[in-house]
Amino acid sequence: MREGWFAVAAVVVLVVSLAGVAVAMTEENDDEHWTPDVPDVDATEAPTEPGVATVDDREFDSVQHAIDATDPGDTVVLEGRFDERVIVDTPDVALVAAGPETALIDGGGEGTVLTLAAENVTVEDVWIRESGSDRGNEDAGVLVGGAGSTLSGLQLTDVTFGVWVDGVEDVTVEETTIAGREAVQTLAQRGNGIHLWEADGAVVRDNHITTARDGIYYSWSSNVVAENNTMWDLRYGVHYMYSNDNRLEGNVAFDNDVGFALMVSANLTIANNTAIGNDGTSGHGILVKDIDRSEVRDNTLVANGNGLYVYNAQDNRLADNLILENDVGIHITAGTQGETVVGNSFIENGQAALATTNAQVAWNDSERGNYWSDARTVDRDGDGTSEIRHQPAGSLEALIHAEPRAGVFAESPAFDTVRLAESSFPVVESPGAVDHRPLANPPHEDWRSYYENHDH
Amino acid sequence: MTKQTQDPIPDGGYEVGMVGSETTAEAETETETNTNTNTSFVSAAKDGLRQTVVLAETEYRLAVRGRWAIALTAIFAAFALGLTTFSGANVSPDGFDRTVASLAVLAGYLAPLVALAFGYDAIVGREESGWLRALFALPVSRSWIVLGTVLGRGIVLASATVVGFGIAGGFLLWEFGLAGFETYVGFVLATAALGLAFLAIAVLLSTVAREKTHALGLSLLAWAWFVLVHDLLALGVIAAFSLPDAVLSAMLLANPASVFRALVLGSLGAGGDAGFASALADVGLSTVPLVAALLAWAVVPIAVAAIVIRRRRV
Repeated sequence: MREGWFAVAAVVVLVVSLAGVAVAMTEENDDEHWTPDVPDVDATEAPTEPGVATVDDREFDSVQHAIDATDPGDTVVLEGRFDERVIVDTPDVALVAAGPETALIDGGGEGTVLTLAAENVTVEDVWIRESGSDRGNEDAGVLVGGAGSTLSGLQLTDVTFGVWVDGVEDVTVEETTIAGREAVQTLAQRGNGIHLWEADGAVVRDNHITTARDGIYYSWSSNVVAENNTMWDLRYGVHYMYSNDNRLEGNVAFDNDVGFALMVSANLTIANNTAIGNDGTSGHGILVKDIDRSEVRDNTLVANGNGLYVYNAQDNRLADNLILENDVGIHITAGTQGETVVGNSFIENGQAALATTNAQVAWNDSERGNYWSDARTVDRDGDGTSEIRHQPAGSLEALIHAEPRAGVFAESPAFDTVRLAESSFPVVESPGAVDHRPLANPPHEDWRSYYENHDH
Repeated sequence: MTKQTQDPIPDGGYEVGMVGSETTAEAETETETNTNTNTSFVSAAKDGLRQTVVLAETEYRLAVRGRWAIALTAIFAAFALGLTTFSGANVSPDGFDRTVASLAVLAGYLAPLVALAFGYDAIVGREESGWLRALFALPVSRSWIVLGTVLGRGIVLASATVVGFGIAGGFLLWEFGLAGFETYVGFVLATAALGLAFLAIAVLLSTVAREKTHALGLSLLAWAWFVLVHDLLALGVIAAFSLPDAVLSAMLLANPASVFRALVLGSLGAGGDAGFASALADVGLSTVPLVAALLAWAVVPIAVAAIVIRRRRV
């Protein structure tokens, strides 16, 4: 049959394709999860030599005895292992390990291991472990009760609270690694990594915090700067409560329930932080709850439950964030008003936006809106913004939120038609959020780089 | 007559009548008299199959010679290439998943339309040209005629789908490499099945319709219903009432276009719609019932057509 060539061609294509599939299946590339460089908190070898504490030329076998012998301005050098709990009550002393990983203070599983009861105490490079497990008693690795103290390069393991700053100002915690008790299964039953209570003017930077409850917890603390900290496997990476006028910059939070949880605070600046894979039970990259007049800008939020979850927040500026591959890009709910949402890139999120509201909210009254990877943009005059508006959150998004099973009809032509009508025709005023000047191109040029080191 | 069968068939014309016509007639009478010799049933079935194959072959030849095969392939290839090279490529760091998600939306419109256009005149068109009258005059079961017609056209449509999307697939392979290619092949097979389902619907409509224009009108209505209206109504019903999972499943399965979309999008990873697979699981549908439903949509309309055609007056 001369016409057989057509069916033969189809069969050939089919067979070649199936062969290709067979090869593709065998070549299955390894599914590597994106993980930033973090230290292995269990890797350090504990010093076993009995501890020697040196003040000037005098040697003590107990840190406490050495401290008791100090005058302000002295330095205590520690080497080896000490099994005790220490209270520093001399101001201006320094407690310094002889070298990295050479000094260990083991609290024996009771109370607080190191208490700084005097001002301007410096502690450097010491490993502190085994605090008590009583959360109500605020059992901590280090309790800072003296203003102006500095903790630097510490290692805190098997502690309930890592560092508790107890109502004193200008404390610095830096380059410290804190690992809570992983054996405590319920995250809420653990203590916080760094607990700031009325700790105005604290500086928290370059720390690594894991397996605690919240990485950095703020309560009634103002003018705190937290920079370049890395937090993972926690409930909340950072948790603000009743703490105004703070700055959070350049931190990384991954694999937590919530990356950065901002609650009941005002005038915060949250900039250049990264939240990846925070998809626990509540699962938000940045939670903005009861937050007023704050700025959340230039953050990178990838693969979280909700990229941004904005709950009863007023007059905040959410700008220039990269919001990539979250289940929901931004979820606005519970009477949130007056948000300015501009310059963000919403790319490849399961659902770009969800607004639980009965009114139609316009997110930007500025010249430029946000980039939406699923928007139909028409930029005839070439100014970078689309002439047709985009409604990322409309009645269908609300329907699917209320009834997830309706999602089986998502992406259907019917679905697209309703969405197009809502989005493009101002006549249809359905509740939700509208971007009047969607951007034609993503302002975050480098968003593709996230695919280079993380397969998804 | 028997000599003619051995001759080459240059025009691919009908030759059904010559094949085993006597045995068929014999088988029919035997069936009526209810003889219990199984061999006659078997031989009747064999003859029926042979007739079907001959009919299918003829339909196939006509479609290939009439440039239908080329036209269908060209349509699929053009749309798939257009989508993958111009619009899809700049937002697809994750290769096949993203492309398939876009193609699935396109195929959801295109494959039903093409299949309906290709199939709406399968019976009623043949009648208007006088073929059907001639065929019916022969001692061939009408059901086999329907089956043969569908089979022939189905092979052409499925081949066109495979070749058309295969061309685009070649370019995609070149661009993305082999990883994730199985998603694309799955999509092509699902598209072929979707086409067959709508071809079956088209043939059923063609069997029912009195005139060719009626069949065309019915086909367009069917397209609008399945592609647009059904899902819109379903969304409205879901919004208005709280329904048990079974009803939602039934609403989804009642539309081959929805089944196709669920099948393709549900198989995608994060590059597709993340919520889709979980929504499917919520409703209680997995791949197996979806595939079964799509195949049922390709079979049941033909079965109905095979029965309905017996009442047709020529």
